[in-house]
Amino acid sequence: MMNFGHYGGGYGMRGRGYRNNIDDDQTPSHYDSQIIKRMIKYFIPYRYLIIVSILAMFFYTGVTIATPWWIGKIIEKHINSSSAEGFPVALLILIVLGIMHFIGNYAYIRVIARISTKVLLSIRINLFKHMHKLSQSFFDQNEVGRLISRLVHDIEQLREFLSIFVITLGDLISLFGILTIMFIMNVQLALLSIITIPIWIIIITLWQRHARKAFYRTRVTTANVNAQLNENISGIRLIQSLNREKPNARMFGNTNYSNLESHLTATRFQAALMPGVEILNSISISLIIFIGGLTILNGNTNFTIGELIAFLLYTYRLYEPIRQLSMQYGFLQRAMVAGQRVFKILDTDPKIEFRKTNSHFIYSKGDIEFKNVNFHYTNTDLVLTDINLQIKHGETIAIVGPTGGGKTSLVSVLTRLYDVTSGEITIDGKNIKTLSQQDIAKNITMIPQDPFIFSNTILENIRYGKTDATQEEVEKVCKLIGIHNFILKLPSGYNHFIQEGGVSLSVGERQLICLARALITNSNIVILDEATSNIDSSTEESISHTLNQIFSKKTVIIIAHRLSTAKNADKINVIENSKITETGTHDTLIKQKGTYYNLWENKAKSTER
Amino acid sequence: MKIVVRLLSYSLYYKVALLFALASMIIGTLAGLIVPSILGIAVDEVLQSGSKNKLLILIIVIITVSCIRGITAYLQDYLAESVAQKVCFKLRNELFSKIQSLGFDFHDNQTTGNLLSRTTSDVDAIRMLILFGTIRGLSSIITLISIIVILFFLTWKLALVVLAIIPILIWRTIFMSKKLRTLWTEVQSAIGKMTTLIQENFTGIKIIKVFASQNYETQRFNQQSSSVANFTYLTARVFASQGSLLTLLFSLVTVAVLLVGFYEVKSGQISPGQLVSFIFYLAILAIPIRMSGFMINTYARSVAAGQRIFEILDQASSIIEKNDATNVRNLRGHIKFNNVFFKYKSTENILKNINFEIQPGQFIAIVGGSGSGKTTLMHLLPRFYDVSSGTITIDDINVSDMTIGSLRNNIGIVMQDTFTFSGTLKENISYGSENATLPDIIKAAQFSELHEYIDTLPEKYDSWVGERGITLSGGQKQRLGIARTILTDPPILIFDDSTSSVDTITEQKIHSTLSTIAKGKTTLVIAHRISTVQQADTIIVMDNGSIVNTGTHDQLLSTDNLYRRIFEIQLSN
Repeated sequence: MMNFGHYGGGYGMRGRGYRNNIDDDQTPSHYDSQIIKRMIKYFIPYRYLIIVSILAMFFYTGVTIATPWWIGKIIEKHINSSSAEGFPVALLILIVLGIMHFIGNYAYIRVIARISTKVLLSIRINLFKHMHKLSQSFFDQNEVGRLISRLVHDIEQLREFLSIFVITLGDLISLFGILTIMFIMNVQLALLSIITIPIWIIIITLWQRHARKAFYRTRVTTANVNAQLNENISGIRLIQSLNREKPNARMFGNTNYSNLESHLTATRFQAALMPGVEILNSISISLIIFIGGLTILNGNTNFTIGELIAFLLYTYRLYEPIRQLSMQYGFLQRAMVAGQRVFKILDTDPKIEFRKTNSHFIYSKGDIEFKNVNFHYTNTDLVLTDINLQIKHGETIAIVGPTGGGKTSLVSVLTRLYDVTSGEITIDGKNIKTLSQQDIAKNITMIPQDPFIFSNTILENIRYGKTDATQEEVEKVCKLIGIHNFILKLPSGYNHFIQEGGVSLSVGERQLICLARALITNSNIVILDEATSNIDSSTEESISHTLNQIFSKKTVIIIAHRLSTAKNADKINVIENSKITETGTHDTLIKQKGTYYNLWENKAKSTER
Repeated sequence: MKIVVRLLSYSLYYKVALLFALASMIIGTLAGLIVPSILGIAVDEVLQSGSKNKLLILIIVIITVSCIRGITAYLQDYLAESVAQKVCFKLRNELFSKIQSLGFDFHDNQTTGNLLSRTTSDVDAIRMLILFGTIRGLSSIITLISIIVILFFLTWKLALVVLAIIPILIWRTIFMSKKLRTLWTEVQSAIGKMTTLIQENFTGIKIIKVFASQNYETQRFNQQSSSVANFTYLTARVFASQGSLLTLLFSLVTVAVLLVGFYEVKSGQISPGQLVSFIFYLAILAIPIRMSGFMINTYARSVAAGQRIFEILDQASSIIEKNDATNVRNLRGHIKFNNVFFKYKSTENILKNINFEIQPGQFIAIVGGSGSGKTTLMHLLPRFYDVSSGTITIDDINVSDMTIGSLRNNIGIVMQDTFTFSGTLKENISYGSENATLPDIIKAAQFSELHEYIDTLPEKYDSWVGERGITLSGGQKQRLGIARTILTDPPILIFDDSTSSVDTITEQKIHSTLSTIAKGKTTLVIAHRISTVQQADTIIVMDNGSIVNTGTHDQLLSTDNLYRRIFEIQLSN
């Protein structure tokens, strides 16, 4: 009926090229005790408040028990005998009890909510921070939707963690209280009434093993739904252009359906707990009636019928905390599953360790050296083979070569988006591995291939790399690259809000904004990775002079497909099949009649046609 | 209230489950009532009669009744929860289809994170409403009403005392639900904003790493997640104070009943026994009242979430398909723009008085600077946006008279930025043509000069492409986009600056194969490189939203200054 065999769901059914993501590995990574210990660490700052909440809980429970008892007293003393003496005081005490109940209940809920909210917040921020430390390869493998799922939904499941423990504490106390009374009353019958508890523990342990898997599965299917949703919303324009709405709705329906199924399975487990307690309770009661009844019938006078009745009532009550405890145990399983998923990411090795503190390496001159650098991505062949490259400060070098040759990889390892597999890269003679991330960011400005625009104003987008830049500085840069007038034409000028991904702008405009973002920084090394490919030639021509001027004092690495951009570089490197095959100036390379020469020949041919 | 009714009406799709849950609840409650009386019989008769057989029968009865209770409790919980889950499932599917059907103009103003959070977090919030709004809500209401009726039967005077608090109760309830509803709206929208931030952060992770702006982003995240936390805490505070207040009010009623009851008993109006049972029933009444605080909270949250969900579901698509729209098949590609004007909602005209005609099979190039309206022009043809005035016809049929699906099937557009899905290369290339065979896919990849590269990969066409196509370079992604469109084999092809990141040799190769593929197809190309443009049958020069000139390469070279300038810059390099 319940199938725990396969976990991949709709997502696992992909082809051979299926990449592992964080939801694939479902082996339990942490023992429960480890998760609890780590959760406790987050609660330690609130230890006094927790004590307050526990006290409030006791107070409130005490009043809840005392109130009916006091009402009973009033009925007995005043109503039944119609005696008005002391009646107002008795009622006053009842009012006081009501107020105390109010205060206790209010304080309890409020304090618990306060602590839980704060703890949740700090776990969430920690997780967010940690995710930012993870290397680029982590993000290559995991869809954004899955990460959202952990940060938003899994963490939410930890909310009940504290109340589970406080309620459990209260229930344990009442459990032992009732048991003590029962044992004082009659040891024999008391033993009878708890005989089913060990059975319950065995059942619930078995239950836990399966329920846990079912609960885990719900988290995975939720992440699958998220991942698919995210893709389908981000890619909406392509989907509509290819008329893919229907097949996609069908695919989403399947993922959504396996999410429904996993939740229904989990519900079955959750719903099975209470009936279990119910049946065990009735077995206990039956045992007491049977054995107790037999004893009485046999004329044994160990206890009276009255005692037996009292005992039955206590057995009834005994199961209330057991019922509660089982329920809390169920909640705990859900929380543990979520905790496991959260801590698993928190324990993921960042792979790229940066120096923690910023060094005094503020602005380098910009000498770069690659020494015997080899590099491959996870699960690929080498994409950079034995790269040796020296770039002097102030030089402009161009990297050209066929698509997929390794051009982008070369600059990705320079900015430490990835770490080299072997060899080393130095800036001003310093191994980049000894620098902090801020150091590298300050010294190297890279404009990646995809011009990424934040949903924010144009102003904020441009000064992203230097948050303290003034409006004047921003405008100055924009004038330099000729987008100032374009920006002024927008409805609110520099404060024009650009929607997600900059869809309202053309790719060329996005590239210009990214260029401005890079130029506003003061770093001495600039990397342009096909950064102007979508800018029309007349705009490119008009800004090239300014760019040359700015770049003349900096070390510039240009990845270019338009050979015209490469032509004026001090040095041109041709990268093919992961290796540097040609190096030299435009003229020397043309004379060599190699790949670079062929590229030019082709360009010339195509323009003549 | 409308929202709640609308949400609850979704559970009516699962009537059978609801009925069974209801039946289970009634049977379970009845069975629960039997147990104490059985125990009474046990003590009174069986033990005193001394018959062991009777004792045995009694025990069998107790266990049977408990089993019935257990099973009904299980069914009630499971069925109610499953209805709730199914409603969520249905809502999520509806949201998905709606979001997919809404036009570009809607998506231009939305963030992915916001839509994502409405489809997940908001839908989740509905679950509790269904759970407590149906079976459990019903049982609470039944308990409430029946106990009030019983109280009136016992002594109507005391019952009136109890009823006196009902106006206060209603007043507080309204107050509390209003307050909570506002707060929950804040919570849900804060979750949406937080999701948006996370979504954007991890989509643009590379830029954040390159600028080492983790601290700045963490600070922003801190703000958003704190606002989620604060509003959530505020709801808990309102819930705590109002919920406890209701209970306090209730204990005051008990005191009033005792006070009035005391004099009633003293004057002999009622017996002490009557008062005792009255108070006993009053205690049972406390349970649904205590629950009510919890229910109001759930109700407020789901109204807030429901509003956000229906906001999307009730969104009218701006691109409307006419009822009698024709299903066009195999258009020839005779395209005509007649006096076309276009503007986004509140901006000035983006396109002004566009007129041109393309014969079937022609190759048209469109040139012009950034922001001259080239892309917008191309987006009007497949109706990503609708014209503000004027008409666009293909084969003399107005595009707005065609079914949207069939129109788009006839047009293949390669967009400026290529979106890749997490999936294999094969899946990505055949994204628009589900039934494509591997040889077809390979052929398309060969045409777009991608095959050679794919062939060097260890897993070839089964290689995985990350969500943002991270393992592919810009040029490779563009070629994937071209392969994807070629594979759909439409009569009209549009290339929107789609070879900009491809190196020159490859671009040349692509263009020479394109001329084979595009034979007989109407092809529109937006391009910057003159090498591409000059082969066109007609070149359209655009500036500032208008067509400033049309003609062949040679014609334009002699007549159009703008065109000549573009050409000269490229030649001079």
